[in-house]
Amino acid sequence: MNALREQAQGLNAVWLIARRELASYFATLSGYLILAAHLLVSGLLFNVFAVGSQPRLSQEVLEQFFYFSSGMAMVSGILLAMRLVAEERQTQTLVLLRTAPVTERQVVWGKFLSALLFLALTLGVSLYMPALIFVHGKVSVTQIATGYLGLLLIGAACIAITLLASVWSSTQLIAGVIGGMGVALLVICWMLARVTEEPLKALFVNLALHNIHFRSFSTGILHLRDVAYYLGVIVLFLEAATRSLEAWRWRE
Amino acid sequence: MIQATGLTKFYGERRALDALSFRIAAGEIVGLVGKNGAGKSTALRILSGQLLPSEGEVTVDGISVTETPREVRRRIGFLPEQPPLYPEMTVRGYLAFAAALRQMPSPDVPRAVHTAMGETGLADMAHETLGSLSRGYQQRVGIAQAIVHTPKVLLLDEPMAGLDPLQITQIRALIRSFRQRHTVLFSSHILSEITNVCDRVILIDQGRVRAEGSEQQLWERFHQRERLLLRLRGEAGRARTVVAGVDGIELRSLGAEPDGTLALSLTAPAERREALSRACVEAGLGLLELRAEQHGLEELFVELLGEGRAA
Repeated sequence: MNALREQAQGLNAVWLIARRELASYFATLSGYLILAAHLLVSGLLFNVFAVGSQPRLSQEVLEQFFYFSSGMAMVSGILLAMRLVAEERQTQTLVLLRTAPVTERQVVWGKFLSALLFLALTLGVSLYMPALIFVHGKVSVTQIATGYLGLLLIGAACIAITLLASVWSSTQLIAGVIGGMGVALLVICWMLARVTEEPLKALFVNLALHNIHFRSFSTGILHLRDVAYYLGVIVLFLEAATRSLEAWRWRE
Repeated sequence: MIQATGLTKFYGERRALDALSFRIAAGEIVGLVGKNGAGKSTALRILSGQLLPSEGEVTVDGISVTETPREVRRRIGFLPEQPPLYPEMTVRGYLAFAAALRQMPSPDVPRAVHTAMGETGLADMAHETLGSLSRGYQQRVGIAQAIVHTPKVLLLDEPMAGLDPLQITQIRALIRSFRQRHTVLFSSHILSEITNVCDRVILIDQGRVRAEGSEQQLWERFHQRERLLLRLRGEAGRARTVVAGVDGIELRSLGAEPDGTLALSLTAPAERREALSRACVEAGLGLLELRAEQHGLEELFVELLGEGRAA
C-alpha cells in the first residue's frame, strides 16, 4: 500500500515538473520560436524537396517529407532540451527541486516529458502537410501514423541525449553544442560502418541514430527492433542524466 | 530538532567544514554567523539535503539527512541566498507549485498559498509575475515558498543580503514572527542583522564552531571586563597617573578632543566605576563623562575572529 502511494506520489511529481516546464515554453519566446522555425523550415523542405517540380508517387512524397522532417525533429529536440537543466543552473532555481522531496529521476523524467510533449505539439501542427498529400493523393493513414511515431521517437532520443548534456553543462549554449555533437556522432555511425570491417561494421550500423532505424518508419513499416532501439537510447541517456544529477550531491 | 555531529566537507583539497557540531532545540531561532567563506552556506546546504558531507552526521527531527534525505526534505523549508524564482510565473502559481512539490495534498494547496501570502505580505501581489517584483518582494516570495508547506525547520541563507534598511527591518520582523512555529536557522555575515532576531548565535570560522550562546552569554564568556569611555578636563599626564592608580583599570587609549578635553578608553570590572570617578574628582580633574561603551555582536565578532575583518 505504501509502495503504491509512493509510486503515485512519484508520478504526480513527474507530471507536476513536466507541467511547469511545459508552461514555461509557452510563457517565454523560446517555445514559440522553436515552433515557428520548425514549421517554416519543414514547410520549405516539403515544398522544395518532397513535392518538388517532378511528378512523384504520393508515397514517395510522404517518405521524403518524413526524411526531411526527421532532421527538423532532431534539431527541435536539441533546442528544446538544451535549456532544461542548464538554464536552472544558471538562474539558480534548481535548488527548489533539489530541496524538495522528489528524486533526481523524477526531475529528469519530468523535464524530459515536458520537452517531449512540446515536440509532439510541434509535430502535430505540421500534420497539415501529410494531410495535403492524403487529400490529393493515395497514401495510407498507417504510413502517416508510423512516420509520425518515428519522428517522435527520434526527436525523443535527441531530447534525452541533450538533457544529459544539459546536466553536464553550465550554460544552455554549451549544452546545445555538446548535445548536438552527441547526436551528430550517433548519426554519422552509418558512415563509420562503411569504412570499418566486421564486427565493428555491424556495431556502427546498429548504433546509427537515423539510417536503418528511421528509414522503415518513413515507409510505413514498423519494426519492433527500431522502436526498442530508440526506447533504449532514451532510457540509457535519461538514466545517465539521473546518475549525473545524483552525483552533484557529492561533487558540489 | 537539528543535531550536527562532526560535520566535515571537502571541496577537492579544500576543507570547507571541519568537524562542525551543534544542536538546535525545537522553536529556537538561531543565527549562524561567520565571515564570507567560513562554511555557513555549506552547512545549510548539507542540512537541506543538497549536499552530502564527507564525514559526520546530521539529523533533523531525529531523521538522518544522509540516510533518508527525502524524509528530511519534507520537514524543511529552504531559502538560498538568491531566491529560486521562475520569472515567468505568478506569485500564486509559483507558491502553489512549491506546495505541490513538497507533496501537500491538492485540496490543501490554495489555503496554504493564501496563508503564506498573508504572512509574508504578498496578498496584493498574487497575480504579479515574479520577474516584475522588486528585490524585497522577491525575497518575501522566497520566504513564502520556504514556509508554504509549514515545515518544522526553516533554513535561511543570508535572508537579508542585498536588501535596503527598510526591507531588512521588515524581513527581520517576519523571521521573528516565526518563533515557536518553526525552528529557524539562518546565516549572515552582517551581525547587526542578527541582533534582536536570534535566541542564540553560533559563530563559525574556518568550518568550526568558535563560540555559541545568546549575545549576552557570549559577552559574559569572552568579555568579563567592560569597556569604559571617560571624558575629563585636565592635564593628560595627571589623568594617566590617576587612572593607573585605580585597581583593575587598564588604559587602552588616551586622546585629546578638539575642545581641549581628554577622551580615555578603558577596560575595567564593572564595579570599579565608582572608585574611578572618585579618584578623578579627588585629583582635581573635571569629570565630564563616564559611561560603558556600546558594544554588540559586531565588536565581539571582530574580537573573536580577528583584526576587524568582519563583514
